[in-house]
Amino acid sequence: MNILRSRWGAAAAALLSAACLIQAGCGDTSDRPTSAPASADFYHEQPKGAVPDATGGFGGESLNGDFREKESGAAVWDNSKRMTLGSGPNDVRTQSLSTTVRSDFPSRTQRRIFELMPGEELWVIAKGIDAPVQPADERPGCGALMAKVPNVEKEVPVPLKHTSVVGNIDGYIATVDVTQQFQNPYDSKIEAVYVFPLPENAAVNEFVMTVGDRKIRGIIREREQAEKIYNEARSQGHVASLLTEERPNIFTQKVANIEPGKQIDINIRYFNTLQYDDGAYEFVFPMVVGPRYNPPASADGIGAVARGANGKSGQSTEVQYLSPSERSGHDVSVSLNIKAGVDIQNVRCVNHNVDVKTLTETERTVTLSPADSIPNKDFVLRYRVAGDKIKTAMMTHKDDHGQYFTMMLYPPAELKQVQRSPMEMVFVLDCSGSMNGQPINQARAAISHALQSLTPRDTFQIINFSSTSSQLGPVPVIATQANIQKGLNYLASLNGSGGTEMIEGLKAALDFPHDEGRFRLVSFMTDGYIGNDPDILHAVAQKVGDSRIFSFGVGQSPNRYLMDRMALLGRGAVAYLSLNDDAAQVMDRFNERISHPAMTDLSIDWGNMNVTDVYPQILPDLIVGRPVVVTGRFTGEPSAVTVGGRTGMQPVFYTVAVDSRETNHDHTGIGAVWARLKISDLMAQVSRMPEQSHEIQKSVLQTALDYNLMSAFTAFVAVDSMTKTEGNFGTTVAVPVPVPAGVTYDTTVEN
Amino acid sequence: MNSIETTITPPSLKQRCRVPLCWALLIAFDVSLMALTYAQDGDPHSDVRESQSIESTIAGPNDARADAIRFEAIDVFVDSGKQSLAAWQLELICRSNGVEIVGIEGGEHPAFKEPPYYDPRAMNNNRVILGAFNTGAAENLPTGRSRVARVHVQITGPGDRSWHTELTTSATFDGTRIPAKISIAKSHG
Repeated sequence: MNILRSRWGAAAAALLSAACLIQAGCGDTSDRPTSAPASADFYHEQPKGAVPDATGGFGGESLNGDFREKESGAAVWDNSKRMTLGSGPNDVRTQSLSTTVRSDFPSRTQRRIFELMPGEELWVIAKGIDAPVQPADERPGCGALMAKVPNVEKEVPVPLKHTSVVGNIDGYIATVDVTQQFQNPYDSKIEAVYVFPLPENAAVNEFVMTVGDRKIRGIIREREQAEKIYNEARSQGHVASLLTEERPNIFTQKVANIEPGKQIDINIRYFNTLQYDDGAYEFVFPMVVGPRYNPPASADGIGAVARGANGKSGQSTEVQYLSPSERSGHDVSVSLNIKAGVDIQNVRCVNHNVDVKTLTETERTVTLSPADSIPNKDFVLRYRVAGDKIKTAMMTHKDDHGQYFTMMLYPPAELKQVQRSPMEMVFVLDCSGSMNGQPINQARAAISHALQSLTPRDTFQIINFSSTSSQLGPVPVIATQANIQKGLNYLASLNGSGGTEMIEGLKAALDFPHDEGRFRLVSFMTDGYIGNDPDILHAVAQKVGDSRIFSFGVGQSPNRYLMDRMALLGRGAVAYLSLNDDAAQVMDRFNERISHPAMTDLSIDWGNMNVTDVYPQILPDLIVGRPVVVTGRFTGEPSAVTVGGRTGMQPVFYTVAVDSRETNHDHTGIGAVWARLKISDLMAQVSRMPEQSHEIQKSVLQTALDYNLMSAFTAFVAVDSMTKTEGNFGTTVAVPVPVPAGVTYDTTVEN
Repeated sequence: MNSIETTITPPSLKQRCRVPLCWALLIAFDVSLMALTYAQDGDPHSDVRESQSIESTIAGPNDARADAIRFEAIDVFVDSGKQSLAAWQLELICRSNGVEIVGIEGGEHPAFKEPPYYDPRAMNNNRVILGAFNTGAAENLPTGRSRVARVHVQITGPGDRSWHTELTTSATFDGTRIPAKISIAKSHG
């Protein structure tokens, strides 16, 4: 689909709309005046394979048209002057014509006549006469036509009808079933391709394809092998599906040979642990991949292109976005069953309207409101629990692989009694185009609040980056009131535009000399919309030194993988600043954390448990309000463990008791969570030890195969050998998605 | 040295007993398999054979090119006679080259309609261990010969393929092992 943009002239677009209204053939036009000084004559031909859209019109509602020249009459048409707007076999072409149109066209049975005033322009849109015609006008690479009219949304048919999310939360482990209902709305066969997000710590270990009333369980295979199987099945006409991982939080689902009108469901099941933050658990289901920026030389990034502009980004993975005037019929439903095990005190959904039902003091059901079912923002549910009762939350599981445990380590209460040392606070603000508007306003509000809580013992610096970076001054300044005011003024001058060269911001924040008398803390405020995540994480690992990184994911659908990994590598913590959050509250929690020293140099005495394979292998610091989840394998009986570390130079030890009744309760999913953490840890080692990447890859592959898990090197494939469709695999159709709420389409998506 | 004792207030038994349905099913599946394994190993006086295995050949075109790829499905049947079949586990191995398992489908009886689980560690291109159970009442379980699974495969090259199939577990709803026969056949839909 291509959109006639304002640069072509509002008058032309309006005229086109008028033309299309007529050409859509919604009524008899014979009653229109025919004695106008100029007129044009077309006939309206429906291409083979095209299907009426949801509005009942052809190729769209009445503002759309899809016209084909029948005769080269007078000045009406000139193929040699056509302007290609689309790509692919069914290119749609436009031509701007003057109104010197003859009025002596021969009469035709199917003709429609409309009028132009002198000096007006006529825009004609046509399908290439030499182009293959199927499957329809609504597919990537060709696209039907649409005039962009403010405040009028056009529903475009997409091959993904509905996504259902059903989650069961037990303690802090979630089991989530995601069902994607693919449907072919066209009149010829298609392959659907959908790039979608999942939580970065999701252990995806089930994949089932439903064809009619038959369910076929997918097989985990080495990625290259799975892709070969899928491609072969696809080319032979078999219904088949393939799930691959592009990033730990971005996946591609392909479903081949969906026949017209048919539906194929894909069910994915994953396990993950919930975040725990200042007494509240957080369940997150991301709904859309934000538009990523890729550095010019990059080819392995995540491209962001307009619907129909497939291949334009030049990236190995590409997401197609609906324009603001388009909407898809794809909606999402979310249903959660929470069994916290302890009293639930408060349930709040950050970005959505939900219905919360209290079953008991410890159980809730949460359902997303059907009126809030557009998948353009993360589903974030927070609920507080009775804090002290969960501080020994060790959960175990035993299967034929062995015994596993997962436990949350909390910082000792004493930390709250100790005050921090002077700080060198560095704020790094992403001022790229994707932050334009609400996101950057929210980030500025947060930094402003944090600035005003600094003391004259501290220094601060403000760095902003987009295509390049700049900063408040050459060196950090003391946090006097005057300097803070300068900082606030500087902040107010910053706006969002340009690329996201995060590496420039990183260099500016981490490369300058460290003030030995102060504790350096770097706060990144960004949506994380970059396609070169591995490069950035590698740079963070190389440059972080003694600095601590606190990452703030800004907006309704930030890149949580990047945010989490940056904080982990920077031995800090991550926080999220939704557009619906109170920025001051978020920064107050941040201030509370950094107002006390972290417990560092952690070690664990496992008591009677014989523990191996603990992940993360390098234990992060314990920060007030932010526990650390540790997962491992063990033999023997669960027992009390002792956690040791330092606060400043002072050694600290504390004992974590274990409730045998709880550990006797089997928690399926811990094995998968452990394996996923192992894979994540191994993948992080690649950037630290690139010379061992081959060995690490083998280890990741074996773990993923043993535990039936998605990874960068494995994929799920399912083939229905019993269903063989006619002909080749048809047209590949990407599922276009909306840009996340609050993100400006024009500054983030390639057209 | 600072030392902090943390205390636990354990959830009530009522609370602990509430587990998600899917987990309950998985746990029940594990328990069933363990029970079946125990039954298999622990009754020296049983007249039920340890397992039942067969060798089968499934015909393929002899005139296909060496690199020709086709997709087929193998139907797996278990015949439990007059007894109701509540749980089963089997191993399927192709002894010929050029076979890759590409999907696993459930059986024909509603009790085993869901696709069975496979053991990922035992999964190879040409080998799979499958198992399923159903805790329903006996009258809702299959008797006689019933297709319990369909295995979709990709086959490269011409000729027949030899299969080894071993039924390692077949049991009633209470975990009692029962004699059963296994067979496979090329699926024709």
